[in-house]
Amino acid sequence: MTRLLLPALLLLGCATPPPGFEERRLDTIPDGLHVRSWRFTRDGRMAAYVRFDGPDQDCVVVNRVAGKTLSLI
Amino acid sequence: MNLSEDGGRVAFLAGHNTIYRDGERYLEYGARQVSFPLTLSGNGSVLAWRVTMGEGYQVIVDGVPGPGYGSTGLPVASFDGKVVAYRASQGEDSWFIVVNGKKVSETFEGVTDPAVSRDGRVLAYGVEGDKPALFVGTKKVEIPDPARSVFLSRDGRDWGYVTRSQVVTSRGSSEPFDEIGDPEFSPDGKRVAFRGRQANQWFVVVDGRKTVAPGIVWGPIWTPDGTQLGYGALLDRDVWWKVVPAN
Repeated sequence: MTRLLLPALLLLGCATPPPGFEERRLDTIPDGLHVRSWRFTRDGRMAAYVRFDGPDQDCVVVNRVAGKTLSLI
Repeated sequence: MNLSEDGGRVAFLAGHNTIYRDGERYLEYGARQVSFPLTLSGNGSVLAWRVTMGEGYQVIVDGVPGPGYGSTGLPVASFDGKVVAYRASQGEDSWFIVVNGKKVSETFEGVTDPAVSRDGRVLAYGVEGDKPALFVGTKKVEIPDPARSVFLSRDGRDWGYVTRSQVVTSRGSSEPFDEIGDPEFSPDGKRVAFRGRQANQWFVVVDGRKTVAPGIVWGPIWTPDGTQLGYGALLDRDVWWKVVPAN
């Protein structure tokens, strides 16, 4: 699974969902990474996106929910 | 990359031929190429995708292959995934709509990707030709300008479409935009919100009222009570969920 333009997938969110439909910061993208293909849950508590470390980087897929790593491929 | 509405299910395409679902490698094709993005039903239970088949394409639903066609659009699904629809062609200027693997429409010079109501009961699509039109359920609506995409209210009673520069519903048309994304009816079906770009500025637009939406990358979507809109934004390097009033 190397050199596939492949991306890291991050699923992130708040560990304890606040009540209501509130504005909130979900994550900070580290410098030097590129992101695209956004999805958010309809309550705004979680977001997922595709992360590119670079076109020739080996593939790392990370799937995180509420700060917990679920899988690393 | 796809996410169910509650965020509990996720699917994505790795490279051009490997599908991951809920963190596991689900399926890998050899030389056949899968189209991006995949389609995940709103409840996350059904995954559909388009894959090359010789010179043409085939839509697969949860591993079950549909018929092969010269070309197809990408599939759309009802919330529970029990209805999967897409456009397909068997030759030039010969497009039609397929639902759950069966052709359900006449053949047209061109058709848009279909829209399916949340409950799967209503199907809508736009057709090109001398007299552009929308088909919404069993109803045909003639329209002045060809539709590029079609959308429905949750119950399928209200329809709208996007032209080259405007969002149009039965209640009227928006002002022109350079780019339009994600039009969505309010829960009561009476209002429409979308994101629109004019020059370098994105807006959340409701009933002709524009709110500046810096960094917007997803949405807007309505709150269940129809009083607010939420959207996803990337501001500097921070991922935000932003909320704006709808009234």
